Amino acid sequence: MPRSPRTAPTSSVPRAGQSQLKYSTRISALVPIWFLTLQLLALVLFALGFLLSRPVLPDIAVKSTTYSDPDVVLPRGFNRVVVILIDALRHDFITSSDNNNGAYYLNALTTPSLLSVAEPEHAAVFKFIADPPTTTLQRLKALTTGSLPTFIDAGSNFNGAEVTEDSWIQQVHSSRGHGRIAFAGDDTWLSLFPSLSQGTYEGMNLTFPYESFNVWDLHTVDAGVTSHLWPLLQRRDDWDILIAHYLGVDHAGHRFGPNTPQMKEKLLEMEAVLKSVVNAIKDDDETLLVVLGDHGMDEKGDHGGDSKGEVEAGLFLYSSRPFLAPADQAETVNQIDLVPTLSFLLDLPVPFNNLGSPIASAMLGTDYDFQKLASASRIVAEQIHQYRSHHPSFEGMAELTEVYGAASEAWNMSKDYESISKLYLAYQEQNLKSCREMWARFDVPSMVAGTVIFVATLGTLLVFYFTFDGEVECPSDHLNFLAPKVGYGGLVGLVTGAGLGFLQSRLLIVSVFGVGMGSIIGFCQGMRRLPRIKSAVSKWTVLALLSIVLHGILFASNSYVVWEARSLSFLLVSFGFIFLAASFRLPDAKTRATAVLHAIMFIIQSRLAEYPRICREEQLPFCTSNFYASTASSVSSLPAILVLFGTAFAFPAIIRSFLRTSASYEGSAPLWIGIGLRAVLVLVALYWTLDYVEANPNAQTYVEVLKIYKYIVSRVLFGVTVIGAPLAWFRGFPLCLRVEMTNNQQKIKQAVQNGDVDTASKTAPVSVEVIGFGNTYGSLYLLLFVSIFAAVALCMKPVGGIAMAVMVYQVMTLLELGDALELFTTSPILTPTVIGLMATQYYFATGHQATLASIQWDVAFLFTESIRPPLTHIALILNTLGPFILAGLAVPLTVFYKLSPSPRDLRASEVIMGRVVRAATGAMIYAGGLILLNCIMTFVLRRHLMVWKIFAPRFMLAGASVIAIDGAIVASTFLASKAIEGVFEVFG
Amino acid sequence: MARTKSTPRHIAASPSPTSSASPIPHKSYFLQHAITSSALLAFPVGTVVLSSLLPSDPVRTLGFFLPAVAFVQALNIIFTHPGAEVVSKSRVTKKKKQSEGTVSTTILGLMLSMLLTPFIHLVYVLFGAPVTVSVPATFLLSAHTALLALFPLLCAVPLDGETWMQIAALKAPITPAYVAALGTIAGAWLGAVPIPLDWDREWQTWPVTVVFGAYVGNAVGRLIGAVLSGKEKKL
Repeated sequence: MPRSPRTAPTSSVPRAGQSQLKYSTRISALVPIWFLTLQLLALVLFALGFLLSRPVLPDIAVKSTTYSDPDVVLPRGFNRVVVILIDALRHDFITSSDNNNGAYYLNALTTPSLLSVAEPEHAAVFKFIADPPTTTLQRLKALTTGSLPTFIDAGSNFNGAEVTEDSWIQQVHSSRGHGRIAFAGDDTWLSLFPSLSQGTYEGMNLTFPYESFNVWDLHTVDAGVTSHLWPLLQRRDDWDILIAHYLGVDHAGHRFGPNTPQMKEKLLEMEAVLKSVVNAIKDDDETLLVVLGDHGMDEKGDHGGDSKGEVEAGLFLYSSRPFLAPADQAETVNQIDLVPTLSFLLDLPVPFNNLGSPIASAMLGTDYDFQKLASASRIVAEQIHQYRSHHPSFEGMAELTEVYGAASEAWNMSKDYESISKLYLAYQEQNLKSCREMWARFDVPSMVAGTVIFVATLGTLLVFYFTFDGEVECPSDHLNFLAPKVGYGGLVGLVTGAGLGFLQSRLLIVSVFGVGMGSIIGFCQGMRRLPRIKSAVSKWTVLALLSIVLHGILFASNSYVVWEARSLSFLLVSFGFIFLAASFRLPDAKTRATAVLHAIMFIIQSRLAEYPRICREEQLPFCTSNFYASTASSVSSLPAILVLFGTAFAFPAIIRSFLRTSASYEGSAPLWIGIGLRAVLVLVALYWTLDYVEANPNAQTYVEVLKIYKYIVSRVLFGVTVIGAPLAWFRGFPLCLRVEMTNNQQKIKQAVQNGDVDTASKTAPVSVEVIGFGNTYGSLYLLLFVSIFAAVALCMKPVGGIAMAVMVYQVMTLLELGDALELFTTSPILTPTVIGLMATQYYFATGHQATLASIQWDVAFLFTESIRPPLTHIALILNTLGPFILAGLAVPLTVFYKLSPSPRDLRASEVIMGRVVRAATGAMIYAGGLILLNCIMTFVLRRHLMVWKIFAPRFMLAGASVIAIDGAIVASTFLASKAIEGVFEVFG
Repeated sequence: MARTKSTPRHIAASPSPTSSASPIPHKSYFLQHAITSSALLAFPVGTVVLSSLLPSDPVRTLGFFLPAVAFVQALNIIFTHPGAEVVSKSRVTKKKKQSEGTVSTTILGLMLSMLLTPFIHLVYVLFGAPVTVSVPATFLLSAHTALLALFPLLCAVPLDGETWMQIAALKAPITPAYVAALGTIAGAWLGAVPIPLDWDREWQTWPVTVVFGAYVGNAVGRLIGAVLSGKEKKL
């Protein structure tokens, strides 16, 4: 039921009250900013306690007296080592497989398995287990320092960070006076070990870094590494360690997936490299070859998590000197075990912070000498004992000292080296276990403080929502009074918190807590002075609050987190049926029919939104990914691109049909939506077509040309959607109105002739009608909304773009329903809540999951060939959080949709702003309630088996999404204030 | 223990003079409904007992029990004289006409609910039932739902748009058939809740929990409806 007529008489434009309105809208826009700040503070506190970090010690190990103990016999060391790191080399890539299922990655890289069978004393293949997170940066740290990466490091993959701990890289420099390291490959190494960049020897450069992050480029890095590898292998006396880091296999996995011809091609290339390296060092028994993967990949070719495929990397050792104890079957070793092993084989001290154990077969040697293994184990145990006694985390923990003491006693008492080495290895294993638990120890006070602020914020939001109904009590009426109280409270809280925190040496946490709680207490103090107002709570509001709980309760079980997309679809479809039942209650037959149709549409959309999916590991085998061309690739399918073209034509028509219901497809609308939006969407589809062609192996000759066109298209689109359209909106203020003038002279004459004096005198000579007046605000804001939609769609993969179009369609359907059922006035929280639910639903529909591996890193290269802030970051943010941003921006539409201005009424404009703020607080109640429930569940389940696999990534998603929604709400409130001021200026 | 309060119920909140003089007495038939409920509940309970003896196959079990459920429902409808339970704004004369042919109404209702089964199937699919797999299971679930929720309602209520609009709007007056239908829907809705849990139980396979939910919801709704239907009340 439209709340206002389609047309209205125009009026003259008085300029009074403009500045007063501006003041009241701007001060209203402060409200969401305050709530955003509070939720940010709470999130920081909780995350500081939950996402763990590990204290890093700067000590560097030196050889202890044990090394000179006459009983200590260590394996003979090598002069130099060649480390070939093939990124994402999964274990099954280098094992021979009888399984003839035709997988492209099988039996392509055969040198390791053939050699280990033919020469078991020279070569061996190991299953090389990585500790999650399986991201290259964390893996490199662990592979060089022997320590355990903590979860918080996972986010720093972009920046890298210098390793300040002891490592075998460090030891080569400090223990061998002439330590020289040659390096070629992934430049992440240089950010970790800046000392590598000074890799020169007698004036010759030994360092050849390549940019690592361009996952679409399969060959540049590898060709470069190979080209430098040969000369370096010829000059073997110039270096002690040669590191070659190949990226092609990882990139082929990300770009195409493991089971693809491209992967086979890449593995065959690596096969050729390994063959030549083995041949090059065949006559040199002082060189050790280490080939390893830093992590594996899942069946899609991505990594970051802890699935079997991701953690099982491959390790291959080879030397022309026999040095291994032949094993019956492939050993399974931890990645950190490489660190002490390499230290012994290079005759270096074991790094101070190593937690790994020496690899048995390499220590035993060809003659199974357990004295060597026991000696090595003793040295490592001693080093670990030393580390534990220095590290603050182990203060007051004595239980393992006994184990160590017993092993040392056995060493002193007996010569049974086999059992001695077992005792030492047991100590090392227990230590590793305790460290894993140790660095999974949460800062509970910080988590509780964060949760308390979340609770207080939610309470404040609810008080605010139920007090300021926007109609009678505008927030702007009282903000003059409340805002200083909030600021003053925050200041007092900061000072008190800082003081108390300083005393307790928890300065940061207590101050942050003080600011948050102080401002809330200030607000409460202010509220007590205000008259009590109680607005009625409608059934819809109860339903909205219930649905927040229903969504949040999903976080209580790992199963529901895993199946969240389907659960949300179920919830949204249920909402649709409630809308349907409510539509049947409408008295007016025509409105009822429209509402029923929209409710059915809403149900269908909710179900469709569940369809596009990327399955996470835990969903298998009950889930089939359909987001890309196949389950084992990350290339979009041709039908998806065709549908995207279809969307480009259909979507503007859908928007038009919605605008036509209020006769608002006038003024700027045909140009903006019919032509502008359509052209942008066609270009988006064109971009993905070019991308599709580029990925085709047959189009290799045109790749360069295609690339140029691709970047032209994407940059033009970026300019238009991210910069051009919002600027045009701000400057041009594109109202969707048409002024229609009718000359009434004829009518008057006729009336006079008929003797109808009354009509004649009442009819103005010229009557002016404004077409589209009934949706002035809605249509105006909608233009901006669809332009931001276009920016988001640009940064989505084709299926994601289609999903975003469906999301906007569903938002429009919901707005029509809200208008018909009068939800906007009876329960301003309901529609924003449903939009919030939709945001999470469409997050999954755009090919994401609540896992780190599902981040679509390749969109970083949407606009540029290399990482170029801010373009890269904008693309990634819009791709990952686009649905949440759109949801936040849609909130003012729940006020503006089909709302006509009241000319010459300042108060009416203020009231509209008050209602916008109220809808904004409604959406923030959803976001805040959800993150609160998530934090509570995460807190309760922090010792759950699945915490790092399921709950921690979901918490990170919840945190990111609450910031995205709240941030978008802050922006949308500001945009809404501009719209209100603009309309007031036009209509007075 | 059957309640024999004889107040006719109408949509209109204020009873009109003609309706208060209605000659048709209303009975809530609590006993009959209780018997029917337990007879119907015998199905899920019996399945549980059987499944411990035999390897269970949801499709076969659902198909096997379908005629029995239809029979129990039909008996209940015939014995509770649906004509007396008419929910309508329509006049007394219409009701009289209906009560005459209980058996034929029952057959008509059964056929209509069978015809509406594909529609219920569609609703299940919209709620997330698989589209390409387990189609027979979903269809049989829909058939059971139709028998539980629609069949008594179709017999108890005249087939006019106004009445069914009230039912769709969840505004119809309380009768055992109507509340049983609502209970079936609520039960089936709740029945979907345990499916995603990773407990790896056999009963978590589609559509076992939904069938159980529907049956339990139906029984609860039917009994609530039988208790409340004597009163002038709306949900």
